[in-house]
Amino acid sequence: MKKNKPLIMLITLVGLILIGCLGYFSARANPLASAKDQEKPAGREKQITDESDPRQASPRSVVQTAPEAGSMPAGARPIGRAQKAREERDKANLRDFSFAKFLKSILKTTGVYAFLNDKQTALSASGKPVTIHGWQSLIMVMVGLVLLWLGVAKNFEPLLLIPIGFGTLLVNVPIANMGGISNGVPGFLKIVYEAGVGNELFPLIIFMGIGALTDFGPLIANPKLSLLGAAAQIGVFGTVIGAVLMNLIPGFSYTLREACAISIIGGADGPTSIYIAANLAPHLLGPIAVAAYSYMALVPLIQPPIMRALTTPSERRIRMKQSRPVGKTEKILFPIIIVMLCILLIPAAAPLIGTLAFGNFIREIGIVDRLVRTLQNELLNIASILLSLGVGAQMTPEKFMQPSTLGIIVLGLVAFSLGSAGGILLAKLMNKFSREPINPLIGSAGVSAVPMAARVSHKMGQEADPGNYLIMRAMAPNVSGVIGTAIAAGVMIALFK
Amino acid sequence: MIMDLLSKALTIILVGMGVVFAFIMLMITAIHLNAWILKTLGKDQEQPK
Repeated sequence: MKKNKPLIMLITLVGLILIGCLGYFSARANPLASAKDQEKPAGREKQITDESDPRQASPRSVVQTAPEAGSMPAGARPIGRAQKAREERDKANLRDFSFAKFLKSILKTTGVYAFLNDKQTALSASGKPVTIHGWQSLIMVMVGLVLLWLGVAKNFEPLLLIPIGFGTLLVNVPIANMGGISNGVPGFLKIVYEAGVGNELFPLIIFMGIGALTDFGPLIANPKLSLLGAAAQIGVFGTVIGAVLMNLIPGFSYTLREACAISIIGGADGPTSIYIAANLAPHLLGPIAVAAYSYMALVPLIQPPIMRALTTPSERRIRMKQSRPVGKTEKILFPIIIVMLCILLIPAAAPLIGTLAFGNFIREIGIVDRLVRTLQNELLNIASILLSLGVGAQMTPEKFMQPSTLGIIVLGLVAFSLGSAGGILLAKLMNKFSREPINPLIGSAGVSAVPMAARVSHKMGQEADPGNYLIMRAMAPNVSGVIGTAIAAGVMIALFK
Repeated sequence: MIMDLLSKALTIILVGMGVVFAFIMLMITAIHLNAWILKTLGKDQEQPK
């Protein structure tokens, strides 16, 4: 089963691409924002939109019918008016009550009826109104089930894909409106989203946990290897151009903010991708998160061909020197150093670097074991569950079944490949000038994906020379990739502040 | 429009990569400096418990 993992993930990605294609062609063939649709809402039609401020964008906000301008006296409470209307409606319902009507209304509130007949006008990721049919929600329910299957049966990133899959399933349940607001009451997924995804709290808590789990020893022992983590960020920044060029294809129109949010997938760092997406393009959060985690799971499939193409067999056989031992004081001071540098150079990255450093600092000082254990386990797990559910809450048809999803999947792969290639090429260059040999295979570990990318470097090294142990050497660019991606994220945030 | 976006994207690449490399280079320098100071003070042999 393990051998088939990348293949199954690939098949899933192809499925996602097909869904994106479906959205692309349906958007091209039928720009559903027709005036007719907007003027004549159907019987069960609801208006769904995002708030104008993208930072406040909710998973799926059902706009309540606003009172007519001038009809409400100043200071009147709209809730009272709504309550009165509801009471009048209830009275009318009781007057008109009959068995046939009751049965009909029950039938109309079933999921089957909603999937077959529901029609909603919603704002797409690009802000254009689109008509969402019930069958599209049903497809999203299927996507949720596929994500669950991948997590449960195939063991792909189960800690994330299971809650994302369930979130996707629940947010697309008709009538329940768990991702929106019904009668002024926010649904459970909307509460989760607004509690920590939309305001970027959960990714930061996860960063604390990552800090508490990470040993920066290999990086401190051989600091020059951290340059490979910096080089891999070419995947992040290079993809911004790719996203802009994609605008030449009809149907795609990424803004610079969206391009930056998509390109961070190249960093192969899930929480950072979610953090940046929530910050710069919240309407693209679902596809970006799913693409980021999918490509992280696909590291063993994507990276080896790039590594083989860019290195010679003799380069792959290079053995690196044993690293020096790192003292406790050095490890304790390292998080302080990176926080100070962050404060001085790019404070916009401080939330990510600061939380990472905090988690690592309390790990290394070794006197607050209870806090470290909480960060490594309970807090990290709680944040992961809520973050993934919140991401799943973004997987609605108006946001996912769009041409932009297709672009995100393609650009994510470009970003990932560019990042891997950037690290390898710099490692080759460094090998030419360095006194100590550097195996270029460890360059691809510069994309974050800790520790999978380092494992792939090690495995490739062992294929060329079974006695070559690269894992600890590859961990240096791997953890520096986490720092590099956080800095890249900070640059992007600073850009749009 | 595209040309304008492209020129902005190029600026983002140049500035972004510059900042990332500058940060990492400073981090490397700080690690070396830290190791040197600790070695000078004789505190470099303390191992984690």
